[in-house]
Amino acid sequence: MVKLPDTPEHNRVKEFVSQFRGDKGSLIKALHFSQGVFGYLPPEIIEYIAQELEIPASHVYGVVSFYNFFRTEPMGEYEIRVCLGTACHVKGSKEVLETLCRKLGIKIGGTTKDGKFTVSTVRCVGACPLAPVMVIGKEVYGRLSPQKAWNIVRGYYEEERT
Amino acid sequence: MRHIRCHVLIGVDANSLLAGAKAVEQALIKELADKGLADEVQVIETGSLGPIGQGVILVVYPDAVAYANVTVDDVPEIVTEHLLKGRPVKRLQVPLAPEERVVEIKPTGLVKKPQPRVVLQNCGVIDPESLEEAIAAGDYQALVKVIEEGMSPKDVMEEVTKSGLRGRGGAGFPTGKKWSFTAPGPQKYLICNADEGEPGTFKDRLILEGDPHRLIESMILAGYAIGATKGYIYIRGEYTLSIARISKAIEQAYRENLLGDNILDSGITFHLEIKKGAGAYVCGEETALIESIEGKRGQPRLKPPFPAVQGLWGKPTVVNNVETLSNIPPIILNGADWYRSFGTPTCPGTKVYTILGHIETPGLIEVEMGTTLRDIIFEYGGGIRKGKKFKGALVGGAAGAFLNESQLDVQMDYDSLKEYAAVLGSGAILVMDEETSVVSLLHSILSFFEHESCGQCTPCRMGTRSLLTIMERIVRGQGTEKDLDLLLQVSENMQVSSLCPLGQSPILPIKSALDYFRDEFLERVSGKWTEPPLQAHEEASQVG
Amino acid sequence: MPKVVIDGIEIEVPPGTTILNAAQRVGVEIPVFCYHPYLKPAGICRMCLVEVEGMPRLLPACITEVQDGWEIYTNSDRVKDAREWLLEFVLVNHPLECPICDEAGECELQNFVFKFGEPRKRLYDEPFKYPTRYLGPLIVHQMNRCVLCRRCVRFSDEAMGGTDWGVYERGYRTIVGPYERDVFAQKYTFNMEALCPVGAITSNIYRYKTRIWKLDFTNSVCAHCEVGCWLDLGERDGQLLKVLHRRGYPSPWICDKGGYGFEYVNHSERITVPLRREGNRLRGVTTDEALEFVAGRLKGLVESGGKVAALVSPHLTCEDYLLMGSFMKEVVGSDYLDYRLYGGNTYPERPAVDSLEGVEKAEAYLVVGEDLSVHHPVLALSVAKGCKEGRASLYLIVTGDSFLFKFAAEHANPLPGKEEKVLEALASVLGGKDYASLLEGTEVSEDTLKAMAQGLQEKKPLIIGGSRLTPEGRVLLKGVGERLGITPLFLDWGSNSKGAFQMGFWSPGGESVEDILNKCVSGEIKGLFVSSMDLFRDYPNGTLVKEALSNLDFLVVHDMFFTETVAYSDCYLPATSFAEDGGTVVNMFWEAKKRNRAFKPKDESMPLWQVALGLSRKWGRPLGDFGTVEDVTPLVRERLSQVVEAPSTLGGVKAAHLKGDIPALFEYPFYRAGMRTDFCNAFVQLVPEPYVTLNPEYGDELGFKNGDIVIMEVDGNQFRMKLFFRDEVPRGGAIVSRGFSDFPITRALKGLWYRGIELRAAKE
Repeated sequence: MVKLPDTPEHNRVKEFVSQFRGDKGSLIKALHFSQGVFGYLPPEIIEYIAQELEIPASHVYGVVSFYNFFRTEPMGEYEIRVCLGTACHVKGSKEVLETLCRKLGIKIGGTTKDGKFTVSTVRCVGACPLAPVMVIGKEVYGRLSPQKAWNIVRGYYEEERT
Repeated sequence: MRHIRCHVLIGVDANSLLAGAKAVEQALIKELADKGLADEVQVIETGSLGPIGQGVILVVYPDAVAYANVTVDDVPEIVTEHLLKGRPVKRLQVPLAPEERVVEIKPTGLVKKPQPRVVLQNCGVIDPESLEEAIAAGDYQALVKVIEEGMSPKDVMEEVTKSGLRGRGGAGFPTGKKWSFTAPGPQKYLICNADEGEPGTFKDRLILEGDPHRLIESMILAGYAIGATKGYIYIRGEYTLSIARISKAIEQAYRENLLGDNILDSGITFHLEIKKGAGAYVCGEETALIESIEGKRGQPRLKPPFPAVQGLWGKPTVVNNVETLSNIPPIILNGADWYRSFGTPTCPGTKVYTILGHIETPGLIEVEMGTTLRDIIFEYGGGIRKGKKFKGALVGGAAGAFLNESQLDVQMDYDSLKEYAAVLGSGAILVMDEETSVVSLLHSILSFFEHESCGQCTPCRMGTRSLLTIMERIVRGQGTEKDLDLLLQVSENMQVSSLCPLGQSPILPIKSALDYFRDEFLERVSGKWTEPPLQAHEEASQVG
Repeated sequence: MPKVVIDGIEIEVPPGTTILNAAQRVGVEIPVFCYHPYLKPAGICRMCLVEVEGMPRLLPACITEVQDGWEIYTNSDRVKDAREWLLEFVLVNHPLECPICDEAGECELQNFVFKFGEPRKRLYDEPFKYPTRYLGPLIVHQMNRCVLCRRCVRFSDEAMGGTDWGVYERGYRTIVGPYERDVFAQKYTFNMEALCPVGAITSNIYRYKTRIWKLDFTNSVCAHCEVGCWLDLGERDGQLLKVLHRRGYPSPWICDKGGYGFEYVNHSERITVPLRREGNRLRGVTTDEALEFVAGRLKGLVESGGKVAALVSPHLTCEDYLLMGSFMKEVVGSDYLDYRLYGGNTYPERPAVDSLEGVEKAEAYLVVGEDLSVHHPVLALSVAKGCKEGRASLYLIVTGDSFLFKFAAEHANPLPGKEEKVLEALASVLGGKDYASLLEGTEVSEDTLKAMAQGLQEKKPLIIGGSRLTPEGRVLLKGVGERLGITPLFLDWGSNSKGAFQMGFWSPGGESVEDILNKCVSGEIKGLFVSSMDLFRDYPNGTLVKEALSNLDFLVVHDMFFTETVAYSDCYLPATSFAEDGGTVVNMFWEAKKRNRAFKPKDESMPLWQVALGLSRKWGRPLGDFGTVEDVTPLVRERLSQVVEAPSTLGGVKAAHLKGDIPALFEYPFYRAGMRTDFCNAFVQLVPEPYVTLNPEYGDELGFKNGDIVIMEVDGNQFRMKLFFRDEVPRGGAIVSRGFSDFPITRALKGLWYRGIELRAAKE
């Protein structure tokens, strides 16, 4: 039996998930909500959801790992999602991605040591005319070159300093 | 008292948001207030105004003047010159589509050529967050007709069958026929597939964001026809704006008893719920989508049993695409014969395309079925950007096929394309100018398939992987001519042995790319090819 | 009936037959990975694609039902091409480690590549580099070798209702395996290993021991419980190295005790020569000398007016019971013999069903007094099957059920010792009588019972009476059965209790084991013969056992190992394991099954029937001229066909009596519940020591944490053990493990498997 600690975040999850006790169809809903709270899905949340929805934890993790959207590791403060859609690929999104990874010193899916950035890829954000595109947090940056992309990322550090 | 003399429509979609639509809107409202025009001029947010890639777009009514690439700095000028003094700002003005109407179409955004708008009728015209505007623009009229004229579910189904409407999700299966397969039972489900996961495609999204009430109405009608009292909209989790708009619309519809039990006292019951996807292209396949709604991994099921017999929670289920559904209200309202006056005899109606790539006005267009690719690109899309030469187009998205110049006159409908081993697919048309590399495009497509294969059946799981390894070799210039044959062989085998359409698709782009652009591949595997310097890409991105 | 042609062979098959099944009928082999006759069709490996004349696409044979007039080709060029590609896909990242892979020789991938593959390679990629995972003492998981047929996952979902075994990630990165677990042992793990067509899941016990083609297989019947699964025993050089379950009968599945619980056969501590007491020492003697000695001493006791008794294990064969019974009754002239050391009782009723298929067909189940998954694991799967598919409803009156409770429509989970009170209450509800008072102190609500009674009246249930039921409880349950119009299926502990009963291996006067032990204490019984049983482990009153054994003039123990009981003996006779001798066993449906000898007995080991025969010869009154066990079998068959009337009293067990703070049930953990599991290394590693379990909420209330070390006190004896929280334990009660020969909990009990205990935190 999993018992979640008594924190405001955990309580929000408890309150939401307990509405769907035994309802296996609400799994993805519960995962969306919990990821919204924590930014990722820690193991105890996976087990808690499994217990409440009466699904084996292995199935919950099976679902979590199936969908692109869910993640089981904490995110950096900012997530940089580089679009690798066809249109962006044509316009050099791979170079943008490689440059960012190299300059930040991380692999795709990794988070920088200072916890500032996580770099991931996305298939298409539906903004193809602006290709190549990257999304940082909720901001979308289009028509990038590797240099332009790096300047934007660097801007986030400078913003902090000022 | 407010006496509105003028409306300013501002197109709000992901692209214009990026270009600062919100800031422009706020500046506009502030400027109008400053100039004392707040009571005279109303600012209305609408969905996409059609063309994209032209920044923030404003359309002023009743003058029917359109502005593109508007920035905050332009706002005072527009307000002072145009709204106060009545002199349009020529500098920003772009031509508005002439009003050529087969159907009763309200003036819409900026298009090069008039389009018959059946599906996108209200997109970009109304405030998608206002039920009143939707109703004023004609939404729910078909529903009212069904109720007032006492049309039975069978009547509705027959009208749709007669109209010849075919599924817009890609396969082109006749919708009426699909509905008629629904097994009898006390509980059935209708699912709207709004999981648009294909790169470069966003037509469903603009429909959802531009006219959500139309979709709700169409689902009530479809549900009524097949006997489903519960519907789900399975929507891509990334589409936050769409989810917000459709949620709001559902809320409004429930409030006005346009959804729920005994709709408008007609005895019709229909409940609608949104199910968020979580990012899996394969969930566009209807059985995978059903699995996902049931909270499982989105792995396609074996067919038979078909969803029409055993679908969601084991109950008879119909899954229709957003665009397919959006065709239903006009069919019911205007009749099958009217609908058949569009398009070709075997593929009646219109089709919504997302045109992208190296084209003058990329964006969303709606044209009749059977319109030639040439017309779509050169008439509706304004031709190739910067006066460059047309090289080819990828039609139907990643799971579609390449076409080259000699096929420009192909009629775009399900049957004509079949002759070219091509498909309408997701309705995405990626236009390539002479500088585009088909090799890297194919590479991108294959890495997409590798990433999105669900991994359930062996040929797709391992085939997509093998295709990518071979392609990576080719891209790096390390492949041989044999690798080109290998691509074909592997994808042919995948077509033969895969469980669901995902694994059966890679053959389309591969075969067409190798058929029409073989030289380009041969150059890569010649052993002499080197990667072009990065500047080329930088330049290319400047072009955008 | 559809008529089809498969590779030129015409055959008519019943409608609904798949292409694969039709092909099997005409002897055409179609390769499959994901297909398994006992799992739902998946259609995902695509190995079985065949061509049907006129069909544009190849069709998966495992799921496509034939239609009249189809012409099917399993070997056309298109099919061959597709197969070759599929094999190439599977092989492209497959590590080339067949020489060190335990599956080699029975690997389906190997076989298919040999039969259907082509010696060419067109695709190149890195081999997989997933780590090898040693998931505890039972299985090893090597993802590198996996072909993702998902049989293991489907077994876990379909047969077990979902476990911590799943499929993760997607596409090329898809993997299967346990979630957040280092040890995977879930009662039915063996099936996952057996289902795996390649070497991705292999047995840790069999690891690197031998090659499959070096083993000789003999058909036998499992000796752990009375489900009596058919097993194939793989022997090499007198060692039992592997067990297979190839017949899929009586159930497609077996449990881990059947599949892995054979290590005791080869155990190095086995004593395979007779021993005779000389003062404080036991000295090795010849068999002849030992038999002479035993027969002589027993004869002497009888002649001097002393009584002799025999207590034997319920895990032996009918031949053993028959000859030993004859020896005791006819030669020795004893009326004291028994096999029910565990306190239960055989009830001679033929149940309403006679097969597991019959069990699976029931629409409802009432299970009382046993955690089926511990003592009759395969029966539990059969019960679960219909409930999982929603066809059947399950009602449980079981304290601390650890598996079926997941599927139960209603689960009465009474406090330890109160199962029969609840049963009595159920009988009252059904009889329209007042029952509220009966539920007092059981922790079972009236609502549960009412819902249960209603459900049982709506659909005719199959009633299963567990081995914990006392004779009184059995009578009560029989009454409930009569009311609902069904004869219950009564279960017993041990793999051949019903055989022992049918062979008449009980005291005609109705004396129970307790009575016999008391008579040893009183001196009436002077000689005792014990076979294959450690009284200290399996009888819940160590004080009585100790007193009885110390008081005897002569104790003979026939066993495989040096147990505590052997320490008291005057003579030790080495016993054979189930693999070393054949014989007849009777399963829970009263069906006789024949066990075969896999290899010859080790050294001087003898089965019990041979001991009885030898003793009778030495006594001077030979029982007959029997050479092998097959010579005894006709007598057994004859006896089995006779109707055995139960004696008026069937060894009574007193009603539960509890003292102390927390009522506790002393029950075997699964991996310690079979025959001689103390000598199966893997099981000892899995469950090294007894532990106490509490309901998590109750544990919280008492201020304990999961995993705490506690002092458990029972009747003034203190034991230090680990405490675990388990959801299935009733609130307010505890379940303590028993069945550990080197851990003397059993000795502290007073004749019953229920006892009050006290718990407190252990000081560090």
